Amino acid sequence: MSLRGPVIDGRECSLAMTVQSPTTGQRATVSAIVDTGCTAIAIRRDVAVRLGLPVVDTRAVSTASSGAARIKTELVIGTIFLEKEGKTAMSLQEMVVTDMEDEMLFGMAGMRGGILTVDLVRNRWEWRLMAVSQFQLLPPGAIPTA
Amino acid sequence: MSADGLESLRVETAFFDSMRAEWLRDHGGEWALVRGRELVGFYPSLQEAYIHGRDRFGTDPFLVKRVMPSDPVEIVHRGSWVKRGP
Repeated sequence: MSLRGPVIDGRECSLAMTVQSPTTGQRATVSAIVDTGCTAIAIRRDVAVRLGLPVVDTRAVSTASSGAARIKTELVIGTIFLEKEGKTAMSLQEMVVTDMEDEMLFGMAGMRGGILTVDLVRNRWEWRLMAVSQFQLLPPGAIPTA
Repeated sequence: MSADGLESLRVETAFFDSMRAEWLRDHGGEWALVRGRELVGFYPSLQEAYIHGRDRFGTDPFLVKRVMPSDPVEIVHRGSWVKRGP
């Protein structure tokens, strides 16, 4: 006899997120994967370099390739823009720089103030910003285009 | 980041670590702005600390770090339950 738990046949939940360097003003729209298994916001190295995101610290991280070992990586900051009820929410956020396939992992640090809905029946995952305490609201249409 | 920039950050991090216990007493949870071996100031948010540093130092490197008892270790694993989209 074998015991088997529920099989979660989830697809990725991703947001089109605009990221801007507070130093160079360079911006890009990236695909940010909403990932509860990630504690931080992580950005792929080439994207961080292309945008010129400023390095303000280093951070120890555990990644899929490092396993239990911790590696030091750069901590950059960037302004992220999200849509909320027709308005644009803007926030300066820390991001760890990693070598990975995805452009961005939107982990738990970024999800604060939002609600993640997991609907296994309809196979739908959705994260929505609810509280804007860590965001600044801009007028409609203010989101920059990359 | 250039080798000079990383060396600068290493010096600032070492200075921050040497002062951490003292700063924790009155500034725990605040954000410290450090340039070289100089504390520029404490700020209530990341944004305020960074903007102050950018206005003062431009594109030169500086450290912005929250005053906490220890640094967090981030887990950056793509969730194994997340399949790639079609």
